[in-house]
This record gives sequence, structure tokens and C-alpha cells, in this order.
Amino acid sequence: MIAAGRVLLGVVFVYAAYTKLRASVYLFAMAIDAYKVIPEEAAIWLAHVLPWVELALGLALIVGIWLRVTAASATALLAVFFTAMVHAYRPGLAEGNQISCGCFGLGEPISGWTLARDGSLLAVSLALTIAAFWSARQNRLASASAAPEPPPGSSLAEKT
Amino acid sequence: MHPSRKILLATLAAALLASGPLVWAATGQSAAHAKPAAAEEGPPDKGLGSRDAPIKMEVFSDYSCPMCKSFYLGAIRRMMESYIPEGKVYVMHRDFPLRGVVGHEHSRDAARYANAAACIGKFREVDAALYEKQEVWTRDGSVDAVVAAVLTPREMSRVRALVASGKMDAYIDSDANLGASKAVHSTPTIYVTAHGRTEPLPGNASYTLLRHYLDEQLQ
Repeated sequence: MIAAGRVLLGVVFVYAAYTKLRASVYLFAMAIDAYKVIPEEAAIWLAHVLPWVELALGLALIVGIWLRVTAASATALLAVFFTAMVHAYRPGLAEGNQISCGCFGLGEPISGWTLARDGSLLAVSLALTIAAFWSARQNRLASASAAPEPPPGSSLAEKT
Repeated sequence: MHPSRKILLATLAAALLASGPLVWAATGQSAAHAKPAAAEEGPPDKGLGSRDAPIKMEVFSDYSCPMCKSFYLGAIRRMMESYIPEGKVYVMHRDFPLRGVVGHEHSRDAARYANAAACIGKFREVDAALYEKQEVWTRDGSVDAVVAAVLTPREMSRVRALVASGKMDAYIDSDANLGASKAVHSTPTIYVTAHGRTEPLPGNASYTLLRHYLDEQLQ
């Protein structure tokens, strides 16, 4: 389950990075700026950095290295994205008047579907993070209990 | 034949010969008059700038949509001061009136007037008026009055005739169908084509970021 979750999230992050890196950085900066939560200059900086962060996270998740760190980072990132989307979403407004999500390139307005999709990804990421920490703890306990008892007197010998 | 009859016939023949070029000139003149009129009321030209510009921007818009107004006032109008007159950007308006949306009841009517104005070469004026007075006509449906304020009475009567002809719906549907084929589902949806590549643009793009983007594309 952990492997399936991390590969799924990894592929999603790599694809998200790909859709952003193949277009002009200013297009992504416009998508970030549409949320109106950070200044324009910060949006430009973030547009340069974020796709590479997503790519690195995605690849790390697919490979499965530093799982606790990558899963926790992915969860934090998705939590920020989801909060921004919820903040920007206007339920009374027609879909045609919603801002672009900017999740996978441009041209996709925030909707119930995009919120459900990103919410689900956040849930998967959170579950993966919990599972990664739980698994690491179990491994630590298992390795501690499996470690051979030091022979009597060995500790004394070490001390002397 | 009686000499007086001969004179009468000769006079008639002379009169016919003389009137021939006059009639030809008159019919030619009326045809010449008809030609520009037909040209003026041809398909609507909803483009701003030179078609040969290196950047082409296609804007699917609904005149009732507040974000379309923001994009027009914040970006298109400012591009009209530099990028468009300098031949760098060509903006093409496409009608995409949203259906069944509260506050958009007069969208199609506004699009009809815009297309009629485009048919007589007055698109720029009417396009601007519809966005500027959006809060007025979306509330009370006074599209006709808003358009009449920026046209001469003669132009307005031609626009009204075109709107009443029912032909404008075909142009609107053509734009809307084009939008549907491009998976447009929100307004404004903007496509920018430069260097043979087409990319969508966020509808509420700030002019600063848009300028950065356009300059990057022009390099």
C-alpha cells in the first residue's frame, strides 16, 4: 500500500512539474498571482522554484528515498495548495468565473472536481506520511528487539 | 416622312444616345455606392491590431463576466497603448456567452450588438462601451442605450437593423462552437500563439506579468 501510494503521488508530482516546466515561467507566475495571496515578485520567484521542487519530490517518492521527509514535504505542499484553492473558490460563482487552479498547467478553473481531486491527493499523502513514520517506528522497535543481548560482563569490560 | 417628324425622331435618338452614358454612370454610381455598404456589413471584424503581429491573442469572452471586464480594462486596453499599435500583438475577440448563469441574462444580446458593430467597423468603440458600462446593462438590460451612446444615429440605426436581422447569432454560435472545440468552459479563456506554439493564459493576469510574458515571447 505504501509503495502504491508513494508511486501514485510521485507520478502526480512529476506530471505537475512537467506541465509547468514546458510552458513559460510567466504563465505559471500568472496562475500563482491569480490567487492574490502573495506579491507579484514573489509569484515570479515561486514560479521559477516550485516546478523543480515538485519534480525533485516526485522523483524521490517514486524511487522511495527519504520517505518520511518526502511524504511529509508532499503533505505540507498539498495542504498549502488545497488551502489556497479553498480560499479562492467562490461556491456561488459560475465555473466560468473561477480562477485557474494552476495545478497541472493552465486552463482548468477551480471547481468541486479539482477540490475533490486535490483533497484526495492530500488524504493519500497524509496517509503515506503516517504510514512512513509508523513503519519506520515499527522497524526501529523490531531491530531493537532483534538485537542480541550483550554477553554478561561485556559492558563492564568496555568500561574498563 | 414629314421634316418635323424627322427632326423629332432625330432629337429622340440624340436624347437616347446622350442619356445612355448618363444612365450607365448613374447605375454604375449606385453600384459603387452599394459595394462599400456591402463591404461594411460583411462578416464582423473583431480583431485589434495587425494580423501579421508575431503574437496572436484569442480571447473567448462573455460581456457580462466581471473577469472579462477586468482583463479588458487591465490588459487589453493597456496593450492598445503599446503592443497593439506597434504591431507586436493581435487580439481577436471571440464571443462565448455563458448560458443559464445568473447575471448573464443579457450576454447574448450584448454579443449581438458587438458583432453588428464589428460588421460596420465600430467594434473597438462598442467593445469598450460594453465592458465599461457592464454594471449598468447587466442590471437593467439597456444594451441598446449603452451602444447608442458611442455611435452616431446613422451608425446606430445600421447596428439595430443588423441585430434585428437575426444574422448575428450565427457569428456568435460560430465563435462559441470554436470555443467548445478548444475545450473552453470559462471566460475569459485566452490563447496566445507565438513562435507556432499556442498556450492558455490565466484570465485575471496582471499587466505586469503579462508584459513580462509578452516580452519573453517577442525575444
